[in-house]
Amino acid sequence: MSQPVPWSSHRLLLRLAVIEGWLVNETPLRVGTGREPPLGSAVDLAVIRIHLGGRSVPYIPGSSLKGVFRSTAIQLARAKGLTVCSGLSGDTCMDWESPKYGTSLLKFIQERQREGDEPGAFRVFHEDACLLCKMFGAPSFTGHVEFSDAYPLDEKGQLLEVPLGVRTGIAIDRRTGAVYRGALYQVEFVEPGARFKLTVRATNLPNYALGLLAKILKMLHEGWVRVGGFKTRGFGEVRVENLSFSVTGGTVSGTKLLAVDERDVEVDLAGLAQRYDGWLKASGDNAWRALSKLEEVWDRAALA
Amino acid sequence: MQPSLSVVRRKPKDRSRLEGLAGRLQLALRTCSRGVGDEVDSYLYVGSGFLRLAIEERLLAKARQARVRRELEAVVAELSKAISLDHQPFSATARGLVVPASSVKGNVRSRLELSFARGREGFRSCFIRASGAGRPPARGQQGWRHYRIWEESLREERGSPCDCTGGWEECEVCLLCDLFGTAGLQGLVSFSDFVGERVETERLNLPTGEKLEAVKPGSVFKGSVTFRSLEPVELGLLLYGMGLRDSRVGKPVLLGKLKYRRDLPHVFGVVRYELQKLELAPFSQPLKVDGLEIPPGGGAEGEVLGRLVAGLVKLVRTTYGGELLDVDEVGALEHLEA
Ligand SMILES: [Zn+2]
Ligand SMILES: [Zn+2]
Ligand SMILES: [Zn+2]
Repeated sequence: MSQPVPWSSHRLLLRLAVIEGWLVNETPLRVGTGREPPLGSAVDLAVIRIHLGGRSVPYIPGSSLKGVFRSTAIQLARAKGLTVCSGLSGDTCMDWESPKYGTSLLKFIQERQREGDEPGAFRVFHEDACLLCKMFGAPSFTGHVEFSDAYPLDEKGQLLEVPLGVRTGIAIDRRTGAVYRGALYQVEFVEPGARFKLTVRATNLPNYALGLLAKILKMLHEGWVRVGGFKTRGFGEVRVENLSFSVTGGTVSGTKLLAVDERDVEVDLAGLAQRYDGWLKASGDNAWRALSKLEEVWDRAALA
Repeated sequence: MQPSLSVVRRKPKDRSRLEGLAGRLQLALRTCSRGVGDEVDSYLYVGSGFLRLAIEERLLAKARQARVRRELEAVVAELSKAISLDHQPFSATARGLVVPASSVKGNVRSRLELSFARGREGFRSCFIRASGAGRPPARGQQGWRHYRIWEESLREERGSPCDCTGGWEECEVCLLCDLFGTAGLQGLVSFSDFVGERVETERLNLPTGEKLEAVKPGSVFKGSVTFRSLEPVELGLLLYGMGLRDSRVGKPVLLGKLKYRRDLPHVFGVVRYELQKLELAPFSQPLKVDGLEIPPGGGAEGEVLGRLVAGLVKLVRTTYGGELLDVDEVGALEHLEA
């Protein structure tokens, strides 16, 4: 079933899907305030904090979660044979010179918009930008997935304790076998066991695109994908707990998530999800099962 | 480039692609113990980087009671004489004692760097952290045991380490920087902390004046190593770097502080890595070696795992031949002391 307005447009709300849960770090976690300084520099690396309820608390910015999801999505999409851009500034589908239009996609689209042809502009974007630009956004285009900042909050919204530790790093001089001078760093980290509230909101995404998000969430949960800095030194392994998946909108019918475009496949969540207040919602193990049904759509979809 | 500085470098693998093998190794790290058939009882000390101070309670009470500046100054003067270093704690997190991932990674990586002697085209690996090659230290000088043990790969200078901070385009790295990462390049192999599972500590007062809280012989730490985009031979190298050869149980290797000291009442740092399980990620290629095949999402334990290790190490040996040294650190050290 094809929509008259492409799903990548923001003019129409076809559906809203919300993934909620808690990220619980199994290993030390460090989300820093900026880039990691080069190895060997003696810098105290503090975790990023925000003022919340009169306190300064560590959190995981939505932008870092989005970064983790997009970079993993690039790998998965390429493994599937899809051409997708890096999403890095200056190197997106929008920036590349398009032989079709004789200019960059961005310039061509802006031209359409200036002429007042908003639907035309969207059609060009929908046809020529990569799946990930449509999902996660591109220059002058808001994506369809939004990651909230993950704060250490409990089910009632109360602030949780976040114990912190500091680790000192040294390196061994290969030549002397002794501690290498100057290779010392001190890094602050969130001790294992802290809980951060995760909220991901996705609008209009076809089932295969929700399936891609589901796959990455599972990879995160299983430790194949990590969050924050010092990943190769054991940091950033998180589990996803108390997962829920809710979806609402015109492309949800009973327990079915209808196909959103011609490459999409309908998914029936009967037995896994219940309807209430206009939402179709699955929780706990059933939420994981619902997500793996969507993941199958991604795995099988012919998108290349 | 001077031939003596040559390190064989190539473009690093594309980090934005999933290709080759991806998976996880579940490992145990054990301090050697005669009780389980090892040749030596060994302690292990890995520091937290923090000093623990001991201050007499009597002085603290006095400081709390001080009312005027003169009284406080008197306490401070007394304190500076009375503060001593207490037993230095073993590295720990909220989950208990740990050998930090960075220590395990450094241990495996440096063993591999030092295991590559010059090959026909140069060294397969740079030294990621090394001071310049000076005159070899004489017996008894700082670092002499280390030098003697690894002499074959330490004789020559290897130049600057690989560096990718200048951007992806110009970046070329050695085999090990591609696997373990370097400035500007994320490694393909990630280590976890090794968390103490059956661990007993003992407070040791060494004749050197050092006071340490060390882990006793027969202690076990558990952790994992996650990898992606590896070829079978590279997975084999990783195992080789942990001292694994023809079975799941590695040969004794040296780790941590005081590992080269043999003039103390206790032996330190003789450990074994033991591979307990190999899991392949669902997005991995199948692992085929020596007639065995592990499918994506599958795994291996026990006897099959032992055969897998032997097959992968054999592959490493045929690939790198004489470039790859097989140094018995523990044996060489004993030999030096004899
Ligand atoms: Zn793109
Ligand atoms: Zn003490
Ligand atoms: Zn290198």
